[in-house]
Amino acid sequence: MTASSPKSTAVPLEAAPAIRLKGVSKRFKAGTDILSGIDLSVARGELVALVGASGCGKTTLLRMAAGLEEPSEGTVEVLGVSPAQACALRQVGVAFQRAALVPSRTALENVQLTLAITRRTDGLDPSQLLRDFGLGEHLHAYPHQLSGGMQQRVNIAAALVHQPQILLLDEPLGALDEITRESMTEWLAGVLARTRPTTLLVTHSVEEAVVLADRVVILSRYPGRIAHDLPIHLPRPRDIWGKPNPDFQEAVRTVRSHLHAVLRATGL
Amino acid sequence: MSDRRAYLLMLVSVAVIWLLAVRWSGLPPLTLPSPAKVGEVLWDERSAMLEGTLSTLFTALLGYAVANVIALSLAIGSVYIRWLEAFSTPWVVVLKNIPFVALASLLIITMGSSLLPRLIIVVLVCFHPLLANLNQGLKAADRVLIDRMRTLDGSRWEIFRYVLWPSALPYYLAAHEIAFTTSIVGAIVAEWFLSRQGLGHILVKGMTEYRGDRIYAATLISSVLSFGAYWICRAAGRHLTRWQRA
Repeated sequence: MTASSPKSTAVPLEAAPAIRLKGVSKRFKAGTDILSGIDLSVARGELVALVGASGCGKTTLLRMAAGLEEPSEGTVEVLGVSPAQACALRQVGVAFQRAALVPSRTALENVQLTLAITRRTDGLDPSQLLRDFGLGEHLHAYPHQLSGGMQQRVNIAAALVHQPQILLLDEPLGALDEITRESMTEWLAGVLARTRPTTLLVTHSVEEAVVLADRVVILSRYPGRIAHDLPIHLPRPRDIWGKPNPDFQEAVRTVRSHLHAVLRATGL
Repeated sequence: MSDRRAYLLMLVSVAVIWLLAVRWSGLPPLTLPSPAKVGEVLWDERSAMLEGTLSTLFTALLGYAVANVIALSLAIGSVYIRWLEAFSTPWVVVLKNIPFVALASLLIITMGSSLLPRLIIVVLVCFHPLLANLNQGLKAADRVLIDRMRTLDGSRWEIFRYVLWPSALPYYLAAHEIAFTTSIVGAIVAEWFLSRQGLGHILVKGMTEYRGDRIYAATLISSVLSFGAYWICRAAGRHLTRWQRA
């Protein structure tokens, strides 16, 4: 697999941050704000993890970056244009918590479908990608024949195969059991290190955030605001399941203590 | 027990029960003919029987095709035109609940014995399962998958083709198993009321002329037709959803 390089021809404003939210608020019909006054920039190639308690609006924020929700106030820009335009430029890949695969198509066909819809000819080779993802034996298996972890790998392959500049991950490992999750975190770190898209990752897991992210953004809730924006200065690759690493433990502890302070302040 | 054995057992049981009934029920051959007698009628009157069968099949198939067009248009239309389902539901509910006899009587006095009233009856009896299942299948489409397609800038047609239709297909196929056989029953009932042809007409004539053998012969043919229709739907359905059993 080759690392993706930004495609300057497809993007109007090269200098703009990859993802930028300015003064973004979101309320649904009931009237209470889900998100309020969000200012967030994600630089090109940067990986930002959003953490926070349930109901803090992190998924809503990600859906706005994907153009699936409109902000009530403020603006969302992706690659200098609106999220919908960025999607139309075929520069966005999304993976949600539940693997969203066409049940009547094999693993390979599901990944090929992304290329068919985006009409990208410069994408990765789907079967090679799945082999790299350890699914060489399962190219022609249907989703129901795969384990949850395998389904999610197909799902992430389908989000990456057209080499989007923007990758949006909504708890991609959240539905998996703990052991699968731990090994998948390491795997995902490797995949992202090779492809290097600008990534916004929503997660419940502080460890996952610290392993993967360049910055961890902690959201408070009711309404969701950015409470802390913590850079993670750890060298990569971050081997955490191997020998004990005091720097890693310290980073996890810092993020966790900030998160709990926010939770206490907004009520559990 | 395998499917094949179960069907074989049923066929044998029907023959045995029939023979026992002929022997022990005490009914006259006029009302309960022997299998041999029915076979004789089927052979002797084969051209009339064949003509009746083809006429019934034609009505059933044409009505069934129309029912499919209506059900598909309404169900798919409802996905894209928000008011269509709300608008059509009261009509669908009322139409499908009009008693057959009332409808047949009305159609006889307005249109007499032509193809159109028979078609209307076939359509009315078989379009509802098709519509209901299509609606359900389209609504069961994976919302997360639709969201993912939208972020890939998939067109409406692509979302329909890759997400909505594959979701509706198993439901639609299941509806065929019910609706296709119902269309044959509907055609025969329609002919019974308002026709000078078809298996339904053979039944009416058999009744007025006290020809139990003809009634049995026509019944036998209609059972074979319905079973054939069911079998075709089932085989086609299993073929199209074979990935589920992979």
